Amino acid sequence: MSAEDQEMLSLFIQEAGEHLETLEADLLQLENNPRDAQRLNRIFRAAHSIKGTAGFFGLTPITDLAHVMESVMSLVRDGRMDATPAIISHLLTSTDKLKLMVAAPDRAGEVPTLEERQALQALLHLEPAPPAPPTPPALPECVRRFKLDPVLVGDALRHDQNLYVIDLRLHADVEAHGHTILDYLNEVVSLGSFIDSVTEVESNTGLGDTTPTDLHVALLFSTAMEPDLLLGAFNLPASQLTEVPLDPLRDWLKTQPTLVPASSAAGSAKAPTPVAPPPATAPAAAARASAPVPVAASAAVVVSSSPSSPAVIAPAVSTPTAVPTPAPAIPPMATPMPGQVARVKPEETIRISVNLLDSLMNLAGEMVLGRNQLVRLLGQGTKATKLPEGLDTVVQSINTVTSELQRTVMRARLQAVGGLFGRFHRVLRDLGPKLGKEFHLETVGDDVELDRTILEGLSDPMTHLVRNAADHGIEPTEERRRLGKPTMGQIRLSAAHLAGHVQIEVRDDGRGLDPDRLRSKAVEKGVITADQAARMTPAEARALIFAPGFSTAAQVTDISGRGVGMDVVKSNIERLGGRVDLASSFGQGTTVIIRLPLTLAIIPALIITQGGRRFAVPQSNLEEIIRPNAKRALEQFGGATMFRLRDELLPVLRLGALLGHPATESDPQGFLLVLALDDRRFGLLVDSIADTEEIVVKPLGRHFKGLPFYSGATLLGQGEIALILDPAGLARGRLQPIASLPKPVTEAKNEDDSIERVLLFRDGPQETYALHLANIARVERLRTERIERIGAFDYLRQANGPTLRLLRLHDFLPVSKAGPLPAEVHVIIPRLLHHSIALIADQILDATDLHTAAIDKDTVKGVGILGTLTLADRLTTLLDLYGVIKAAGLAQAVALPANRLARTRILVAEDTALFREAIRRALEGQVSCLDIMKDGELAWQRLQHESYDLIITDIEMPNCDGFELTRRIRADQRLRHIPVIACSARSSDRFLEKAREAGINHYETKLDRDRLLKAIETVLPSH
Amino acid sequence: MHASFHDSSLLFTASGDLLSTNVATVRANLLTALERHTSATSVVVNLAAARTVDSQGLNLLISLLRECERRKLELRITEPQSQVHRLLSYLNLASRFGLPVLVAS
Repeated sequence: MSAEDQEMLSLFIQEAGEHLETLEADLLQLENNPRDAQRLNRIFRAAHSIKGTAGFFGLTPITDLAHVMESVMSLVRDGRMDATPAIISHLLTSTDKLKLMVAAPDRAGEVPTLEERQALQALLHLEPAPPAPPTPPALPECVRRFKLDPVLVGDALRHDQNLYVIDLRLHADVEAHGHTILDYLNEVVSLGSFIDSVTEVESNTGLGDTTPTDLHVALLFSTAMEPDLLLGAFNLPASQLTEVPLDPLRDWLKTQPTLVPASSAAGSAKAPTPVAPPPATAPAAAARASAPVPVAASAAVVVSSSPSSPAVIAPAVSTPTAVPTPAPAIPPMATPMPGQVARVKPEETIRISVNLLDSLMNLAGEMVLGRNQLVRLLGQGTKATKLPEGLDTVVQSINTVTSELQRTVMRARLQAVGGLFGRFHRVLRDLGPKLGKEFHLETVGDDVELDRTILEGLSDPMTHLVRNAADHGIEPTEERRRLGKPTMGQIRLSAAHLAGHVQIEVRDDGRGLDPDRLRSKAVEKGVITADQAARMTPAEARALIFAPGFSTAAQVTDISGRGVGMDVVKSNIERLGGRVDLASSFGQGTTVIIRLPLTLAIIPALIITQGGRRFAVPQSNLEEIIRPNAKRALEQFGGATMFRLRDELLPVLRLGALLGHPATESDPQGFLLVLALDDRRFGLLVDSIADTEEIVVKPLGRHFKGLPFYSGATLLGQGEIALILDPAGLARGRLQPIASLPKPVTEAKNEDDSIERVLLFRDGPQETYALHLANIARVERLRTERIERIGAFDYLRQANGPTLRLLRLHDFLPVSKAGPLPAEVHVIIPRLLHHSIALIADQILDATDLHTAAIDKDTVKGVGILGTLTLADRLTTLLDLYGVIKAAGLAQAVALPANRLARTRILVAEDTALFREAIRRALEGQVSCLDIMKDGELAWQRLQHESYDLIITDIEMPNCDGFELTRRIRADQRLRHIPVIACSARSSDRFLEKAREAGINHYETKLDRDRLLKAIETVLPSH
Repeated sequence: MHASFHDSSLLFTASGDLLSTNVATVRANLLTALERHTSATSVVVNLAAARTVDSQGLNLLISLLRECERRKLELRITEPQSQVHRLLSYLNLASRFGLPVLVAS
């Protein structure tokens, strides 16, 4: 027996054992209350389950006894027989026998059960005679060769399924068409319920028979599919598929509810029906269940080559003389003998209740808390008093074991998401014919594990999403063919770990969501006004599908209704502590992104203090801790606090301010926690760091559920309760839209307007300048005496970096003269620029937002100037950093051969208006065509109609980012050859790696025209 | 297919898949061994090494089954790989070879 079979058998032993335990207890209780309907049902179900599972393994002795018990219980349950003490006694002794057989199923045949079965069958005879039974109806000819299981047939009829017989030649019909037999049969089974099969055996006369023959098999199965679909699915001629008439089966089934006692069945051998389960005698049962199986006894098994009638079969199974002596006798098993029977050991896996697992989890959590307190007390004790020798070793051991215990219990709760994904193969297979579509389901990350509670909660939303994708996302086959898409719709389910969470995606390559249609539908349904619809961005329009009751489906089908229930999907996911997002490209497909916590039980956390109180910060969000000091100070830009972390401006939130604590003067700088949220990062300023600890997450009471800053509470080692901070909740709505950070999915209200954040500064009393914050690496204040002059130029030497050439704007731009430098100045150092330069400012004013629509590009013009606008009641000059460099004569003579660039058609995707303008200035007039779109989605749509030689794309953009845009391009046969250059201020290894994975040819930092031109030269084909 | 004889039991051990390409050879080996060990009372076929059994392989196993019936020999298959076991179950042959049934039938 294979390990898999062994495991299944072990599971059977455990499950049947549980049933028998409850069966016994219930039988005993039944004596006190013989009409307890609930208990009667439970007893019946226990016997029925044991019969069913034993039958699955071919354990006939168990099946037979459980069957007759079930028949008696059926009469009692239906009120046709009283549960007298005598009947209960018979059932209890039968239960004892079942226990013996279940404990050692491979030797079940050795347990004598004849007496019990006869006693129970006698009870069946005592049943008041019902009205004269009608003559058993004849079974249809086509199914007489099969062994019909009334349960399976009944199930099929109740579910309005059809029954079919397929006659197969295993080579001609299966192998010759390139299938393996097992695959073919698996497919048959996947389409419905397998009831029975008959394999031609009798015509084979033995090893000496070398006549080439094709093995014939007849399959009886039920399915909801129609005959023509089945013929197509199995590539069979109609002559080999027989649809079974159902009315005779229904009539036959009426004779089956209480199974006929064995003697009656045997006596009805001549009758065409019913085919009762084989009423084997004990020796026959023993022979059939034990191994090796005597070949002669195998005549009892219903396998026949010809459409023989049951009359042929029944005598064989009921003739004890046909059965040779069973295998050598072993000691009788009338009483349990420990160690005697259990060859199949059930210790490899056991089934435990979910409640027990939850209790175990809670206890492990309490143990972690106790351990934490113990460790802390020990630490205090060693300072104050002498502790018993060896105590620290014991505590260390407890510490280690507790951690291991906690991890192990956690693991016990985790289940692979593949089990959930796997269900959808069948779902889509069934849906395909109904919808006239073809699907290919790809699953990725099947082994990613989630807490079972989360996984269970995910089942319904995922089912809804997959059915939605199939029903409304994927186009019908013919339509896809017309659109030039692969006829088979692709649905991809993926799971991956991401920043302490699990991200699950349901992606289809179907129609995508049409924002215009969503808008009009929303107006039609009164969800929004026409005015609101007009102002709604595509992303906002797509989000409408999460509105309660919103649907665009022209026809609500039984499969799904897009929008119907999407709000429920969203709320279900949120209830699991997750969130759901949507990405869709009209005509190209839809991706639903679900983010879920891995587990909610025990997490490592950093304990911090703020305002004298302790808080826990999940380690999964923590990237680093920084101690700000005079050299690495927090900076204020307008109302926003920033910290310059290497090449990034990090927005900073002050926990004390968020919580309304009074500012502490003792340690104004505190500690800065760098916290990661997806691809976003921010700094959280806290008073002090206490410790790291594994904390047990306790949910907040419902009165505190609305607090956005906390995800739960925990008990610390000292016994103190600490709230667990939720970084996402802290950041929500409080982070400034810094261009150097990935932006939230927002869109400008129209093509010409977006909000950008700029630094305002002055050099001289007259003019105010604005420079996009994304251009700035850092701002330093320095004493003028540090500036060194060589020839006509000023320089600043840096301790850890190249010497900077200092530029004063009035030297190069048409602006007013600033005058001599004051004793202290600021230098604004651009970020990620090829040139080692800095701008001098005598005053930093503010960091503020501007509307690009307000920029006046006409009044003040010149190299290095993007335009002017009024900010803080002052006319402000908006600088073009590259233009400044160019005006200063620092731009290198990097240019492609004019004729080559002049032939090039370039498409740019860039959401920042200032950068769009800068790129336009850098390339316009030099290329054959320069189209600049404000996000990846628009660029993608443009690509559908225009041809380009090169794509330049930003990375962080709303709707469709640069990675996604590139992935789409690489997946498109027509476009995949086009080189892609990504321009982004971000340049971390992680981003570069993602860029490579997406298929980006070259990655470049923004606004460095020289490098951009070199990149273009590199990626453009040389011809 | 390797044959050995122990305690009145004839043990055949498959050396690989049972396919149309090798059934003729295996059939001959089986027949030879059965003729040689006429005192055998049971036959055991170890299919641990067989990942695949095609229609001709199935035919061969049925031939062996029928041969054993004719010779009044017990026959059982041991250690089938799960896919082979499932195939025999689908075809209602598992119990005839002394194997538990893996699918409801």
